[in-house]
Amino acid sequence: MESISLTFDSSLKKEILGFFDKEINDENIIVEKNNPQQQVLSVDGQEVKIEEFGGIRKGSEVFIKNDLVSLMRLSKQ
Amino acid sequence: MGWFDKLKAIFNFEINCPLINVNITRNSDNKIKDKEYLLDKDNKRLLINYDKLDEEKKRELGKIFKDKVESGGEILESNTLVLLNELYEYQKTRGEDKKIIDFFSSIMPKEDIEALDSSLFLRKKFNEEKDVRNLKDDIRKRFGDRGNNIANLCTAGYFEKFLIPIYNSSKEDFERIYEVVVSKSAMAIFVHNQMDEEEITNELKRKIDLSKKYGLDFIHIHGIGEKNIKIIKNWIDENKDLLDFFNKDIFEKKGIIILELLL
Repeated sequence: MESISLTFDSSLKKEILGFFDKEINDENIIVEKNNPQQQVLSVDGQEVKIEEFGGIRKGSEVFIKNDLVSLMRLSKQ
Repeated sequence: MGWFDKLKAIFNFEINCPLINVNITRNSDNKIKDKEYLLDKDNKRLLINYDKLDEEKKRELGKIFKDKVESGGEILESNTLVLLNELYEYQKTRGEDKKIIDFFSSIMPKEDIEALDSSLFLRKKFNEEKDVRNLKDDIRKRFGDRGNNIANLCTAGYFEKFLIPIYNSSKEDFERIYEVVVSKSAMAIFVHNQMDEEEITNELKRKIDLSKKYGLDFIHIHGIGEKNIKIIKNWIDENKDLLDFFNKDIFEKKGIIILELLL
C-alpha cells in the first residue's frame, strides 16, 4: 500500500501547507501559522518560498524544494 | 489503518484495480468537474477534486496528509514527483555520466561537481529533445553564471572531450586552464579531434555571429591537437578583417590552445 504516492497539484500548495499549520509571509516564505517568525527549513537548511515548495518528507517535517539541484540531492539519499 | 484505507473510508469507495498515485487536484479538468473523485484506470491514478469536497472531508484529507508524513512517508507536488522519479531512474542508469562525475570528483570544487552533476542530467533531457529551460534556470539560480557556464560546457561535451584529455596529459595545465574555462566561458567554442576543417570553420563563424547578435563582446576558442590548432590559427588569420574581431592568446602550449576573440 505504501507504494502508492500521494501528490497534489501546484495550485493547491497553500491548502496543503494549511494541513500542516503553515502559511506564507509577506515575502512568500513558508512559516509556522502560530509563529510567523519561525520559517520552515529545507533539507539543506534553507528557507523555502511558496514557488519553491515541492513537498514534505518524513521526520520533523522536512520541506522539499522543487528545483533540480535539491531533487538531485534527494534522489541520492 | 493505513492512510489509503482512511482515504477509502472518507469517500466510502472500493477500488479493485492497482493504483500507483493519488493526486489532489482542482476542478479545472472537465472530466472531474462535478465529481469528488475520479478513478483513472489507464494511468492507475485516483484524482480527488479538492474544490468539490465539503469542509469535513477537507479536514479529514488534511489529517491523512499529516499521517502520511508522520508515519514516515512523503507528500509531493505532482510535477515534483515526476522529476524526482526521473532522477531516481537516472541514478540507476547513468553509466557514462557517473564516470565523468567520478573522474572530476576529487579535482573540481564541490559546488562545481554538484553543478556538473545536475548539468549531466540536463544534457540527457536535452538529448531526448525535452524542454530543459526550467532545469537550466534551476542550475543558474543555485550556482549563478558559473553554474550556467558549466551547464553550457557540459551540454557541448566539453568535460569529457576537452578537460579529461587535458588533465590526463598534464595536471598542471588542467589547473591553469580550469578556472578560465568555467568562470569565463559564457560563449565558448571547443574544437576537438572528431571535427573536420569544415565543421570547425562553420562553428567558429556561427558562434561569432551568435555572440554579436546577443551583444556578447568576446568568445573563447579552445582547441586540442596540433592539427586543430593549425586550423584555428589559419582560420583566424584569414577571417580577422572580414568578421571584425581581435584575438588575444590566453594559453598555448604543445597541443593545447585557448584564445579569446574580442568582438
